Amino acid sequence: MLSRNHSQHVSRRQFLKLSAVGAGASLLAACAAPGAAPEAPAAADGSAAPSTAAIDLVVWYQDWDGANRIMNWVTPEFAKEHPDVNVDLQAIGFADLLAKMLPSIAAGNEGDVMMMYTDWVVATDISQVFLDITDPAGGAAALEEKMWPAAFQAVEAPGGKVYYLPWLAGIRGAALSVNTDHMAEQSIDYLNFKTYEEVIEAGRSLTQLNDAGKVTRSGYSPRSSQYPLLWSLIWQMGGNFFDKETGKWSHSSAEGEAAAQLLYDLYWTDKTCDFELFTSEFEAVSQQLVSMWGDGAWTASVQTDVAEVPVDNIVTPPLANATEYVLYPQHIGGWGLSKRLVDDTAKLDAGVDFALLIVGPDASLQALEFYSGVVPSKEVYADPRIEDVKYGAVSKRVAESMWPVARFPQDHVAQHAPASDELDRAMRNEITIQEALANMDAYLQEQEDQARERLAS
Amino acid sequence: MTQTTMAGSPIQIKAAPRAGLLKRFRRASPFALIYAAAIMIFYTVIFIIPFGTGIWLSFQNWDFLTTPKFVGVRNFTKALSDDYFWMALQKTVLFSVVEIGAGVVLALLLALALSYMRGKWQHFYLSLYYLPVITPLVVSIYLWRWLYRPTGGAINGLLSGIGLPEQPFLASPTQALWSITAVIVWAHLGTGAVLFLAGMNDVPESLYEAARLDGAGFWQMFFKITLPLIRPVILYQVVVSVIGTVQMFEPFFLMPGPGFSTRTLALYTYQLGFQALNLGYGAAVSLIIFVLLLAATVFQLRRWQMSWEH
Repeated sequence: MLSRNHSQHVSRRQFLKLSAVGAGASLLAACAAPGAAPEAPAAADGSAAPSTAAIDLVVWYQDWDGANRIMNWVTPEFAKEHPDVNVDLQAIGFADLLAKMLPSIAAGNEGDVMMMYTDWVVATDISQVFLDITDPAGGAAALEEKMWPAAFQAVEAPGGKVYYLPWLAGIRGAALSVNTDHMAEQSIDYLNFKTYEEVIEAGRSLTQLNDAGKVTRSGYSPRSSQYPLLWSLIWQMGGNFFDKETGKWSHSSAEGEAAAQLLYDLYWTDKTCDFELFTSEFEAVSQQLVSMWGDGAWTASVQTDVAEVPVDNIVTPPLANATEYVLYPQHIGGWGLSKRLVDDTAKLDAGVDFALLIVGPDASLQALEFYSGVVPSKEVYADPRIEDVKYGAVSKRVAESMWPVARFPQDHVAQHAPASDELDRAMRNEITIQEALANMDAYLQEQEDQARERLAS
Repeated sequence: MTQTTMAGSPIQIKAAPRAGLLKRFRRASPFALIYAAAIMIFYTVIFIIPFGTGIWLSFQNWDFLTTPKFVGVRNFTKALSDDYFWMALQKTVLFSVVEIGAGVVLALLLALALSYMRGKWQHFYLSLYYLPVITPLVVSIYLWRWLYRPTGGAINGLLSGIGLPEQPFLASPTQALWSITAVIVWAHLGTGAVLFLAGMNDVPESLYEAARLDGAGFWQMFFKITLPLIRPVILYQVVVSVIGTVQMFEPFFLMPGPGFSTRTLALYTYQLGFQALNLGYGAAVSLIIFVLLLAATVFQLRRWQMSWEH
């Protein structure tokens, strides 16, 4: 009863009147808001005033210490040449950046310049994702003069156009990292491995076992790199696992089985590694539990600087009987521009200049002071200052050997984890190699077909 | 409206005359309208708009980036001829039937056992069996992944300890689905047991006393008294479980079996929409799941109503 009496203080008519007044006031306030902004001063002579409005350039990049340091160098450098551009740096965590990039592009509210990884966009038509920057960036031929062409081929680009500027690459599987203390213990000349078999042999000699035959220190662990490594090995054996023209996946082949068997033997025959010693190869390295691994060239700097484990990088050498020396470097970090910029020449020029500055020699040299991965820029390694940079020489050694033999399958599968899990099951002896390869093909084929059908329609 | 008394004589109940919608709206208190509007707005934003968008999307071809393209019922006809869809549907039905069947039977037996306990022991065991319910499912999944490990896993350690052969569990295409089913049954057992125990506690003791005097045994009392009287609770649990199991995603995503051995419709929808970026087809499959669930729920509720009237 109390509530009923209380509610009768305001009649329905009064309520509707109040609501109408409130709604009207809100509407008026909303309409009046733009007019409330101060008006631009009119030119004295009555002509239109020259535009002094600054360009706001929104930059999305992955939030990690290295990128923050690079941005701190790049932004003031950029401002020297572009005083009229306000750069709004937005550091976004890896997972968030991945999750929001495509939906934001679809909604048209993405950043103007965006850091990306090539495997984020393999399942799309890249021309729908990023702006064609071939001409603003100086032309494809000029870019391929400055950078290795393979870096532009990580994603199928229609018409040979350039939709991203390649920047950094960790090259998981295409590089090996070594604990130099362990190499010295066994007097292993890791810089002169000629074949992959020599790596395996070194791994055997570096592996330490306890009395029960359990691995207590892994001489060579392929655990984090076995999936990309499988592809490199299949290619080197003269086989193929994906036909770009037909879209057919075919790990189930003589070469596929031989490559998988080679990896399997590392665990069960050569016993350079097992699944019991550690759960994370990256953490194991810092505990000196692994002597050689393929987690990516970038780990050397992290392990050396943070974990204080002396690490060096080398390119994964070819198989002794390789029909062709090819390496799959997984993915590349790069920079793409928003398609919105096509209608805003001033902002487009600023965005291209900003991206070119990041991937150019000056910024890259800054990056290689604390990053041991590779950059795709030949210019960077041709710069004499490279030798003075902490990881310059090692990065140069790996990049100059790896990029010329790098290859990407240009498939359209965005998520490889289920296929990678199948290979891991085979390595763990949970299913046979044949079963794993067949399961991988089934999953990847389904994903490829879905993507191709979608792209075709 | 007519209802029937226990004696069988009909009672006529005069239905109140229904006021028109506009009339009722005009009579309503302004505050009631505000409260109702708030809920309606919330419901519209979090359910009606996304649901409507999902229906609209199921008739489009869209990859997040390009302009959505109307494709009519193509996404639905495609599902009917898609072997992967049927495979996922089969896994979903198999999983749901076994999970709900085993879950209900085990929860009933557990509740029955607990109903014979009193005081602290009942509370102790109830808490023990309810623990998995309050444990985050993701934590449980990772725990079970470790228990199920083919090499070095705790369950295989136990099996080999008592001389039984080790099992591949999640690594086997034939065992993976049932291994996941066991985890979900374990995780939900406490919920069913609590509900059934509450239902059993509501059964009048006099009925059991009368049955005992008539010489009924334990199982006779269970099947002739307990089970019929807690049928509404069981049916409620089944309806809720059907909806929950068909939509279940986390265990299949986080502890998958080899190949497509554990890919259910919920996981397939996710893969279509967010991995293959085929949002239109993904939405169509999710709409099919919705229709299947709606049909199953309506069917069960009708059965429930019939048995209740009976």
